[in-house]
Amino acid sequence: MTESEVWQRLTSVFQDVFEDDEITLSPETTAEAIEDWDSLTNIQLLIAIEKAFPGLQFSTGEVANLQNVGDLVSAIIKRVAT
Amino acid sequence: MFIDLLSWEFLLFSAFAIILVASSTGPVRTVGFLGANIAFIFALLGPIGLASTLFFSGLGWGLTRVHLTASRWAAILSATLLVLVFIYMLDYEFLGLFLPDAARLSFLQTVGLSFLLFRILHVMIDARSGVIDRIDPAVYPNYLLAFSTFMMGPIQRYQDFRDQWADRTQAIEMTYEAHLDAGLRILWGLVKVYVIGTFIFRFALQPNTDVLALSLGEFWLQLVAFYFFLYMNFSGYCDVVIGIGSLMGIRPPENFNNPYFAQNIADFWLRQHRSLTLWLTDYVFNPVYKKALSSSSFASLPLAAGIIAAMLTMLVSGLWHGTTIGFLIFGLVHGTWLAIYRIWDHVLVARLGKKRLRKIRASWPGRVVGMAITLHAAAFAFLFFQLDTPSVVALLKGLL
Repeated sequence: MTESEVWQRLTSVFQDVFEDDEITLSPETTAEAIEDWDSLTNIQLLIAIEKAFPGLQFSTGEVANLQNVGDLVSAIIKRVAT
Repeated sequence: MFIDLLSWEFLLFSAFAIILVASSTGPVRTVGFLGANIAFIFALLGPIGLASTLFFSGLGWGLTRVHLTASRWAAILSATLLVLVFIYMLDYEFLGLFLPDAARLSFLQTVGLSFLLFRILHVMIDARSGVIDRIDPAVYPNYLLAFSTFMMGPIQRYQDFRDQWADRTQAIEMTYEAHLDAGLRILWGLVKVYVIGTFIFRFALQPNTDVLALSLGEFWLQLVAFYFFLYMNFSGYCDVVIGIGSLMGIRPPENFNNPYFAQNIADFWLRQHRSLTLWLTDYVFNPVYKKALSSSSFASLPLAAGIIAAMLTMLVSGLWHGTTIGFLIFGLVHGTWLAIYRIWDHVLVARLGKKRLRKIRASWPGRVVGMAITLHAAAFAFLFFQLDTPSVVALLKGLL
């Protein structure tokens, strides 16, 4: 999977979880930029991402250290991109 | 013992530590700061307190080594063992139900151990995940024992401390203005603690108050005064140590953001003792909620899963804050507030829709109502934070 495919699939997961087709992502996007992104939706989002990228499983330490979407994409690419 | 927190001796000691850290490099800086931290803990807690602290730190280091290389179950066991030793050393009140007095450690000085526990557990978990690639033996002891955050936080993350200690990131800009700001921050913190806090304390709820004997007006005043006293005291302390940390080059994270402006109880915890909230979110709430949502029983019940995770998180928070029944109830009350808030939010979203609800909450009446309810809910929970066990028991008996 290429990096651009990761971004594409991730954007689609965000749009599904937050029920908003207008969401666009950048590496700097944080929870502050998306109104409904709180501690509850954060975990729902991560579970949806794990489902969208087979074989991906975030550990507690990784989840704790995700600061923005850029970190998220790096974590995904490290595991699933070829 | 020989030094009190925020006393002039503490400020003098801090000035010495700032000069030591700023004027030395390499092993002299590392060993010098470690020596200063150990001397501070000795002066604060005495020989038994220092011995307890060093024992717990050493145990934490040993169990972290086990945690990193062991199988999944042995890793869970090592973290659990650390928590059990912590509960035993702090001599939690409920231990009286199982242990004879002779087997209890009520004589230990364990101030600072709660923060130490959370620092050790965070390094354990993150290092096992690979997020912390290496625990530097020259940094780790100072990270655990740094005098500035030893007793009352804020809870700094290891990576943040390490990068600042190694000058990979700067605590503050190397300008006159930034250093002046840090100095003024210390001064402002002292004003909050000694001037405003001391004044408010005259009206605040006292530990042995018979709450049921108070009129509603007295009760309200004492409760709200205690809320603001706690805020002034703790946020003032944080201002002082953030200022000291900034001047030393190891600035701890911000811990308060005007919690009295919070518009709901979840927002409150992101503004009050923020470093603790983020720790609890990362290492208690997130794993529990994720596990629950991934299970077949709760996959279609996100609200219920969220409430259970929030309740458990607040229970841990309560027990972490103190060893008596009042702190347990403090946690349960906050868990209940979070549950009510989540259910209420769910109902309102279903009835009004997200857009309309957002608009109502953003209006000034919506904001004022949200702030007033949140402030009173938080102040009420602090009732159990302040009352001693006999007063809590008397209150519960009276209410029932």
